[in-house]
Amino acid sequence: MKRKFYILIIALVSVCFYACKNITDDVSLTVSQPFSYRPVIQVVDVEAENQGKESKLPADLSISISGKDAESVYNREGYKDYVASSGVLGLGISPRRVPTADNPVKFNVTVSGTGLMTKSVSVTLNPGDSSMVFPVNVMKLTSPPEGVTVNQLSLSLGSEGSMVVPVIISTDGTDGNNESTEITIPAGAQFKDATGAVVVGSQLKTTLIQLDPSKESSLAVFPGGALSVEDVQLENGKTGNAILNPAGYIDITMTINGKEIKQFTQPLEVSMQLDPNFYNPSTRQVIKVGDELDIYSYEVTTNRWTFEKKANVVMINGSLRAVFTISHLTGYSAMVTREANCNMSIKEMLGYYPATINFTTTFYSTKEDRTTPDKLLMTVTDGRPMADNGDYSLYDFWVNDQDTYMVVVTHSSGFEMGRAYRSGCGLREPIILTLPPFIPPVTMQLYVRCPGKTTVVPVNLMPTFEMFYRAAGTTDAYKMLGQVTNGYITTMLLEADKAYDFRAHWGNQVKYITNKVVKANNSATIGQGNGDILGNVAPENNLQILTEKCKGLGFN
Amino acid sequence: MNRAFLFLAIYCLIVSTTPIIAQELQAPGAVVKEPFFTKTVELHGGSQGLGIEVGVPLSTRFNLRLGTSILAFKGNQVRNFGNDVDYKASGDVDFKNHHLLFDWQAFPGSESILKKIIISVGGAYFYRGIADGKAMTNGDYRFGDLILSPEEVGSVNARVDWTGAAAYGGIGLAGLRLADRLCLGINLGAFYLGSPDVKVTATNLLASNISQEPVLTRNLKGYQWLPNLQFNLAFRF
Repeated sequence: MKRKFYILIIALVSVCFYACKNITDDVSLTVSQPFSYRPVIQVVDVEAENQGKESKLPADLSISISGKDAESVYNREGYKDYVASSGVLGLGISPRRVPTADNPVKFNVTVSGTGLMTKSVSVTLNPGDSSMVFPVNVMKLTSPPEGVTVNQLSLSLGSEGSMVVPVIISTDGTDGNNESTEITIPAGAQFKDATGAVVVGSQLKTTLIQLDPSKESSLAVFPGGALSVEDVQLENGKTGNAILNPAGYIDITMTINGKEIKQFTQPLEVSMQLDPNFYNPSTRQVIKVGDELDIYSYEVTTNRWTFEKKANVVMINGSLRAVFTISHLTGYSAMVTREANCNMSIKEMLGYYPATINFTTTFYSTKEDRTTPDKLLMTVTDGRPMADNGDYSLYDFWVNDQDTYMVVVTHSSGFEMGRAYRSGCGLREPIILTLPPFIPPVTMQLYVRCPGKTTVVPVNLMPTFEMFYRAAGTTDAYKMLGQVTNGYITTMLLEADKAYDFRAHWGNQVKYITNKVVKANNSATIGQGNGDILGNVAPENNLQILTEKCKGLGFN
Repeated sequence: MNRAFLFLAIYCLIVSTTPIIAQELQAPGAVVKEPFFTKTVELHGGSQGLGIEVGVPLSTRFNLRLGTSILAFKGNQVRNFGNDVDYKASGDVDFKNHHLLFDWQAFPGSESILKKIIISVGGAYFYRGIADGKAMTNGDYRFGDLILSPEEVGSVNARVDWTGAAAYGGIGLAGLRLADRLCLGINLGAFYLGSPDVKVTATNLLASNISQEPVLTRNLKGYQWLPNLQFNLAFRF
């Protein structure tokens, strides 16, 4: 009996000390990247794009972020330095700054570089705009698009840096530009920097850029990137929103000994030739002598339009002109502004579609008949896929409640999905979109195996990056394929069994995979394991990058 | 406190086994054996927590104990989970049960300590059998120039739930006399709870770690037994 009892004790103790597995064995906690809102800035050389070529941007391309929410804007690695590798910059908005309908995220992106016209665009992120693409169309001074004229001069100055004789700087209306501008610098004029101090030198270098707003290629580089703009310093002194209808635009920069000139001791006279076919939305007629235009200045560093004065349209030597004086250097436009006094909501409806799609919504003002598109006001390229269950997307545009606008929705393949004319404020009648031809989607899943590891990195730690593509064997410009989220993307822009070149942007890194035949479902593992890939361009560099990234993830 | 209680228990155990103190009650001229089991009210403490029991003898060798126990404690530690980020992991255990145990005196005829040995079986209902774990980064988390507080990074929360009925088996020593009507008892056994339900939730930047639920479930699958080492202080009536 006692023996049985001892056996019972041993059995019981054995049960009590049953060797359970350590609770935290194999438990791995990971911190995801912090950005829910990841806008993409895509810098594009307009003229190269017009010619179907890859943009060649200057090596010193510089991007700065300013404006209300600039403090909340980081690059994808959480730093405040903004580098657009191959023209693409992925941004992340601090998780502390979540946009709301009443308080969207707003900031300005300014792009500059040697030989470029400095360009600013405003970025607005509303709730749900998690991965929108914001193109910044820049122009090389040596290869402007049609409708843009550039005149660069070097002028001799007298003693104390003053102009000896009156000088007229002009554009000549070449390069497809219907307009020309003459700027008269009076004799004796001296030049000041931003602080008001006179800058003395022997040479004045000037760059005069004139845009013909009647041409879309010219409007593509129009300041701010849109004609429906917010935070305009209006004629009444108040700040508001406006629809701009420019009849002409000039950008003037001057330097003495490399120092930027911003002011003068005497005003300069500007005589801006106007497009004779300009449609004046105030009179609802083509422009004519006596029409009153608004002269607005534009400051690229703040991306802000400011009312300066009025100018009447006059006829000089057979051409319509606006003549006015300027006392500081910036961009100037003669235009008709319409107060944007309300918000128009455009709802876009899509029937059932067995895949997600990407699309662009373009917003035009219209001419007198209300059906002929006039000016391209703004474009929204939506990287957010439209839901596939008959859901909708909603866009708000600032408008004048007396005007009519045209909305065009285009699939990323170029297929026009819808076109409609809308006027008034608030939610307007939905636009029912036509479904694009169905192309079986292609999916791609990328995995990462860190050096020395047997298992792959958890999917939630996989990078989110931008992917571009073009047909293999061509020199076409790469087009955006989309955002690869945690290593995964599904797209209808690719066709199975066709070969493509891919360009991936991960932080400041740009990687190419060329001549890759895609299947309907593709997966690959980056690493050194059996069957893994390290890329066919500089694999040793890729391994080093992989090692560093893995260390950053804690998988060293 | 726990160490003092352990010393007291060991002391009592030693003392109770000596012939002088462990003598049975005697009446003048005759030896009257006191029954091994009597009605008792017991306070207990041990690995199933603190509690109270009522003991009712069913026969000379069988006893019934009806009681309730509460086990609650919290703890935390700093550690990492598979990468370089340190987390503050905190645990909150909350076990509450009602139990019904049958004791059987194994060696009533023995003159040694074996006489005090009981074998116990029974069951319990854990009306709360929860262990909550929570992990947050230990201090601010740095992502480039962006510095996020632990609250902004979020938390991973795991709830392990054994709530329900449990069987019990064990052995013990009973009737180790400390004073006239005060005895010490010791129980060693285990509750069979079965595998727990595991639920992992997570927030903010840790939200994706709900993927760890199957791993935790697998790790906890073997945690079916709750060992019980318990000391009873019994007031005899």
